[in-house]
Amino acid sequence: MKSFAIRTVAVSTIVGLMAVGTAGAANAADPGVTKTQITIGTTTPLTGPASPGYKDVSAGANAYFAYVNKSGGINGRSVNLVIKDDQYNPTTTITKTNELILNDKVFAIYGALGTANHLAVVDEINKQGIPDVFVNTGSNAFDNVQKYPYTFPYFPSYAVEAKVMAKYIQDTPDLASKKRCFFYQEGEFGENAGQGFASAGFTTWTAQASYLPTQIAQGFGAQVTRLKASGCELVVFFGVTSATGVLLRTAAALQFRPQWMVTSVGSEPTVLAGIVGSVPATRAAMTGMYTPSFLVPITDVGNPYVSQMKTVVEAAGLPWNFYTYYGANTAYVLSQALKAAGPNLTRKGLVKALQDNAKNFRSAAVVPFVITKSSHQGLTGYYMGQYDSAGAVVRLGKPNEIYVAGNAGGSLAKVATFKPAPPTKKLLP
Amino acid sequence: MGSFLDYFLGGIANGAVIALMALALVLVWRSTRVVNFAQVGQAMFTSFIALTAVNITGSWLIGLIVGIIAGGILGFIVHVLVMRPVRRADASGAIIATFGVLIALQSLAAMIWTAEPRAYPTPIEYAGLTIFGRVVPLTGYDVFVFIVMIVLVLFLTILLTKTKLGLSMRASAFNPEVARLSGVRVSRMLAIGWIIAGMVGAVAGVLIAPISSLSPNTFDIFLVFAFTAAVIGGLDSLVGAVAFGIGTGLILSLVTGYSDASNAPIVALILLALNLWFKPDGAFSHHKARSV
Amino acid sequence: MRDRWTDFTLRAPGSRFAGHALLAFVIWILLARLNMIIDAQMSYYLALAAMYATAMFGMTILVGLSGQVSLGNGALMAVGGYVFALTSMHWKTVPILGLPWNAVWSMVFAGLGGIIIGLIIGALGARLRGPYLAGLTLGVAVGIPSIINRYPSLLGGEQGLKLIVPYPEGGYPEQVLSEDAQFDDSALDEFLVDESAVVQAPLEEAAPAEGDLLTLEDAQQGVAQEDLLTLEDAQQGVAQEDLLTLEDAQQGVQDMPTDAPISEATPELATDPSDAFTTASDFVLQQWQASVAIAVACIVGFLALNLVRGRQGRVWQAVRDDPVAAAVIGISPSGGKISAFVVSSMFAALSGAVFAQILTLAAPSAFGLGLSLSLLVGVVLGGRLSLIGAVIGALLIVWLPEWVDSLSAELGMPRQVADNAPNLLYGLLVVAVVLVAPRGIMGGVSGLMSKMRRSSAPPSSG
Repeated sequence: MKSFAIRTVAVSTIVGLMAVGTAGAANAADPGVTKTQITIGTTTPLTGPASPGYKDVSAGANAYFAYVNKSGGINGRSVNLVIKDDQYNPTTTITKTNELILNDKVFAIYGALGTANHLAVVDEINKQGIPDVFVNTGSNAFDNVQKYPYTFPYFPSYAVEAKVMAKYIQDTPDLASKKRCFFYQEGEFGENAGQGFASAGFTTWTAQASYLPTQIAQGFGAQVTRLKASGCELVVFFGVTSATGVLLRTAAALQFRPQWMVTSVGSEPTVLAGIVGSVPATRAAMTGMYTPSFLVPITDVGNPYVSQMKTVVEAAGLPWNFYTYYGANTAYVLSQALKAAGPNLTRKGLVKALQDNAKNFRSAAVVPFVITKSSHQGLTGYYMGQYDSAGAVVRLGKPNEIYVAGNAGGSLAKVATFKPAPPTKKLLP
Repeated sequence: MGSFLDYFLGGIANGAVIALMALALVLVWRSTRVVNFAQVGQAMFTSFIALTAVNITGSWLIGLIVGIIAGGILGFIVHVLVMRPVRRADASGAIIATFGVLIALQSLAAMIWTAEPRAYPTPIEYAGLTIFGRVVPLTGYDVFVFIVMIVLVLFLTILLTKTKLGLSMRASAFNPEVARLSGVRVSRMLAIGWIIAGMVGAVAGVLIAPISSLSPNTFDIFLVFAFTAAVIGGLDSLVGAVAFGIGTGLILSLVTGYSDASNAPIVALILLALNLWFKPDGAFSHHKARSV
Repeated sequence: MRDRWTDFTLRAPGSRFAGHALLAFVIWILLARLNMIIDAQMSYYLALAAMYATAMFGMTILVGLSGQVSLGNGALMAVGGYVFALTSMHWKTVPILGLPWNAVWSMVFAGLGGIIIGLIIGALGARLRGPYLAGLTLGVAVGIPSIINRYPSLLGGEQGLKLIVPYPEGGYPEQVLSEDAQFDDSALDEFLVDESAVVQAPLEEAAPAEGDLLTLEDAQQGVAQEDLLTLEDAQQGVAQEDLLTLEDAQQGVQDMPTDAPISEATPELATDPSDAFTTASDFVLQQWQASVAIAVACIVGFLALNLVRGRQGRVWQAVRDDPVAAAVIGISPSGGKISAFVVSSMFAALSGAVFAQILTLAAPSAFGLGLSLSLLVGVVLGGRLSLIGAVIGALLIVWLPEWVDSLSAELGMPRQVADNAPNLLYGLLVVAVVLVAPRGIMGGVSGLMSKMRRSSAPPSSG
């Protein structure tokens, strides 16, 4: 029995040492808020297969917060964004979110990235009453005031995007007459889009094909062959940007030249250009590709939002792309919400500020931002864009023309005009 | 029927790159009795070095040559720093060590070249060939890859079975003690095995990169497929690795084409299990399975 | 090292059994007590470590004692996780037995699921040598998550199955949360401006004056807010909230309705649960998770002890060391190999069921190749021949990444380097441990101890 005892002691000592090693951190009465600082946290892939592009979102946000902090902060408090790398693995997301809540004592979770990742923690965050602002995913699962009263999406949902695409196709005679096909990523991404199309009445396609994320590296020869053999003239694609690059290259090689319409998530211009490279045939396939979007086009450098956010991002030494742009933009919106919540910052106060004031917040989004007591939809629509021969997305339609739709199954996309307000002075909240 | 030909040719194109990576795995196994999980990491890393050379010189060929040299050097480094000292460990220890090397190489590459995928140029235009008046999913570049693969297999087969160097390498791997007694410098042979495998892996990487695009993680999936192909083929057999590498590509293409992409991994798993059930030592293995 | 196990075979089986039971009980009491005094974050780590240890006991038996390399035990954990999730979601009573369902039944069925899958893979694997078995189990590790993704209506696809976890008493105050998704699109309409009412001006014309734009210098140095405030105060003398409308007026664009005073009450958020959460003395979710994980780990540990130190342990070692000799003395080599797979698969499935409860989720991404590889890393680094090694391995899996993270966080490197530094360090550490202690930490420790014993022993001749 002696060896048993020794081993028992050894085990408990190790466990005990671990306890001493990582325990600590003071118990604040009001988590994450002091007189001089607001601590918020995010989980996002900084490394691993999902990190390209996505790793820049939190960095862009941090660049904006750094600028605000230098300019005196928000109601006298500086913003401290704690960024945790979850490598896009939901298990790690849970661990890292626990760390944010229990060790870093964050005031709010901000910009958590990934649907499956965030679904793993969203119940717990809401049970604990922690504001969960601007989840970075297009899943509409988080627009649920009853179930997730503290969760606020920002990104317009994939389902809305599909409805917008369907509406645009129906309204454009040239597109409506084409044999249309659907190519999507397996999983909830493609599924959400499929539901959006179904509610718009797009239930039958000339052909459908899908891919697994692991197949991107192998190319889409079989899928493109099927679409081509079916005589597709318009291919709607819901996949990530690296997959779009592979798709265009494969299609160009097989001389398959349909009209492309690609989800906003799958058409980040700088990343796409990097993958497509300088191959003329693939570049040509990119020209004329439709893609919905919801922010002022990143190439519109005359726009005060674009120019100023570009300045903020580049001042922090970061690359200027859609991800840093998007990150800085949501940080700008959150800063306005924090400011509106007033000097006596509480979690309930932030939720209330969002629900009451969301419509007054300025941002580079050119579609309405809906957060009320009864709806947490976030951004509600898209404009239709198209790639020009220089690789830039050009906004189509009449000035300020957009398409909006609700997340509900019965809600169809409508054409609307929406004129966003100009930014606040010096882009400060 | 037309689409069958398309799926078939597309599958062969996919399979050729799997076969190339499987070749490198077989080489390491033949020369050191280790399954090298770091192989895709080494190939990725040397492809980045090759791409840097291409960007500087503008020449695809110089990129390939630089990549091959870098592959040999990296293979040697991994052997000397990790695999030679680790020989005291058992099989699972060696697997874990190569796994550690893979993680380290991927993080290092992300530090140096960032995680964003990059385009890698091709020496031949990446455009589908026209057969009987229709464009098929087999590009001139795929044919080029296929030819390189055949040349490599022939060259390696001759090197390993017909030359003194090759025989010494096999002897060192199978029975180091006996080899040492008969005057073979075993440790040098093991090092040469790693260098050659590193060079073949580098060729594989440079040829895969234009298809998959290049980032620290894009080769990961090829590790799974190449290892599967090598195992089914019999880890000792170069021909087996190539045959089943192409076979894997064919199956993935046909299943994806005729049914659904999500069925492909399941069919692959079932075929792997069936193969190992009937041929526990691989289809092309020279040894009989132990009967116990 | 191997002699260690055989030392105990001289004891009478009954007393050995009782000793193991006492040991497991004492450890359980100690860990349960520890769980009550540490903070919530540590309880979470403890839960993870106990969960990993459960799977690792199986790895010790499979990889260590029976010498079969498995790259697929993470996928076997998925089987347990999903059986637990499915049975706890769909069963009100236990089939056939008709008894009311509770979580223990789900654990039992998770274990059964593990046994069945272990039999299948074990039967396939018993014929295979080292790298071929590695190939098969790698296929399992990649294939099982694909199968889960293939049947989204039953298994929830990528998002997985969400578990309803019974919350501990005194944890959180009950909050009334509806389970149904409810989309309310009525709010959308008020934002839709009538087309004719909008001034058809390009957006650029609505741009603010040059001085209002931030410059690169501003972005680098920050804007002195006092200056801005004084300027605006001097002009208008108004509260900050009013600034937004003021600027709108200056630009001549009245685009959005600005109303909704902030002082209105928010009835939906009656209680603030975070108040209750921050009082440290409560029995929180993490402590509940840890108590489940500890209990299962102790039961599985007790089973493993009996198997490893009993006849079965010697059978496994005999088959590993010399299958031909084992066959001669009447031990079936394939039987030995398959039984090791079945036991390790059952432990993995139980561990997976606990994992699903810790995550409150069974999702394919949680049980991917990464998990399988960490299990192998843990058992190799910890020491694959002893159950203590398994526990050390479990602690390493949980603690090593955290430690590496915290280490590299303090170095203050550029972003691209800092983000990847933890992984680089992790990879190098794995290699280093294999190099320094090829038989794992526990193997290294026992090697050192026996060396010391030998050197300190008195000379035998007199």
